Amino acid sequence: MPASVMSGFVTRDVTASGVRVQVMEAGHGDPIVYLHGAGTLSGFDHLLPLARSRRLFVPIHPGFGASDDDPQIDSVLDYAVHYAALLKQLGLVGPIDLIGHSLGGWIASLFAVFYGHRVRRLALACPAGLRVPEHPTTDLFMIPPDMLLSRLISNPETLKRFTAVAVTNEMRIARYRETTSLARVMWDRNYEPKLGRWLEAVTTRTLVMWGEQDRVIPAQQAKHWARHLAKAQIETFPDAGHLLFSEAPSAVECLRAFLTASA
Amino acid sequence: MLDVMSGGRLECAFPLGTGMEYWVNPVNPSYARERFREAMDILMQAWTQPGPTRYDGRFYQYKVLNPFPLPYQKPHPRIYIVGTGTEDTIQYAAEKGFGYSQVFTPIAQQLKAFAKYRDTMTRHGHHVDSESIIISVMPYVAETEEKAISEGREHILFYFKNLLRTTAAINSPPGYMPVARLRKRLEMTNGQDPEVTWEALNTIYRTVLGTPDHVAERIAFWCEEAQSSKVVLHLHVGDMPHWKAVKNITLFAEEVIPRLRRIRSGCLGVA
Repeated sequence: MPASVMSGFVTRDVTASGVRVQVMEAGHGDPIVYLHGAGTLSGFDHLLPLARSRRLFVPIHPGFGASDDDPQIDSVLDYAVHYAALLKQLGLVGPIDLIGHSLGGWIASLFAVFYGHRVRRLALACPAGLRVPEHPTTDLFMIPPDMLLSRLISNPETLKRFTAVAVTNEMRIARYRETTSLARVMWDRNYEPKLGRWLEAVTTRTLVMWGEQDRVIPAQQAKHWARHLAKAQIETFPDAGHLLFSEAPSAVECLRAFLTASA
Repeated sequence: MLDVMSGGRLECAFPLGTGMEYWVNPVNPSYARERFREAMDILMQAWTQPGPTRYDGRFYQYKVLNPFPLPYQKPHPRIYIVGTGTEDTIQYAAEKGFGYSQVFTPIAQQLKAFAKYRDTMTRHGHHVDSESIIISVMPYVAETEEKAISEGREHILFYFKNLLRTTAAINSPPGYMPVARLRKRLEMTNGQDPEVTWEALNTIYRTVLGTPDHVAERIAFWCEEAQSSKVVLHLHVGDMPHWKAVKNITLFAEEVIPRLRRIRSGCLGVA
């Protein structure tokens, strides 16, 4: 496994179910697994505080970033099944703390439904997947590519950090590939009609987190998640949009506290 | 049914559809290719195997496939695949021994794709002839070249400017285009949507306006260049009024086709 040190993370290649993926890792201690959202271009450095006393894993989904494509994946549940294999490959067989952001939140919630015994604590940050007709999730495919970033972020200062980088053709291609991977699981609908019912099987302690300025998945969905989950608490962050952890260091701190408290 | 009624004259061309169509039809563009191929397999099964047969696929399931009547032509009517030059599609058409065509792509690029298609067909042991490839032509015929231009040009421009108006983002929904093809396109356009001009559309379409002599010569040249004798004509285009359409069709039939037959010594099929 080739390893390279990058921005506090160590990255390596792991093959699970025949597909090579990149796994980023930082810190030592009890494992935390973070399942990212529908894009990887914003990076994950903002999560490093979680690795101060813990071992943080950020695996890159098949079809995203430096991971290979998995032509077998055409539903969000397929991603949950992928993670069942990958975590085993990483030696993470005991109950872990699992975080999921956006698409990753949907994957994490399904992982908790079907592999509940393998999750100790669950944190869902503005998760996708629930159908809430009165506060619907934005159809990201309908947002013109050049307007997407400003939709994901609430704070103009954060926006500047991203737009300082000139867009290259390689970035456009990478983005198109990730959007394609997303379309394979979310083009038809960005929710699973039966998810609410399935969530009722989850007995894990769950933190539901949301940026109040989220313009992709409205924060009003938080209470709907909590309604279906047996042990859920909600935390919202007033100045953050959909890229919650990039915009609100306080959200990362809140997450750290939740994962440190006795389960 | 059409094949039977026409005594075996039916030929079918199947395109994947333009990117724009995926926004209005409930079909996921990111597995459009896989779905398309499955649909072609079903079509072939229905046309060639005596029914009833069953089909259990990833996208489609048929308890009973049993069309009646079966096609008149055996083993089946000629099939063409219409693409935009994507390697993968050329490969598919050639592997299956289907015909191949392209529209709305630069002519130079089409010719390269046709050469690649012919090579691959031969490698797979399929016979290639002048009917294996279809070219599309948009002619306007009039008494003089000036008249043809003044009568025909605005409608052709209208078609490209208004009826085919799109943006790169809309025309390439996620997964519609293989990444390698996007890379090629970005290298050519650098992410800018090109403006439709008369000059630009003449590089991506076989457009000819003029006298019967001129139109016939030009089409003969294009056939020669593409090694094709199969031409799809667009004689009514965009907002062309009825009288011009009738004039164009009549002059083409009465004046251009006989000239073309003479030049191409009778090997031209007009679809």
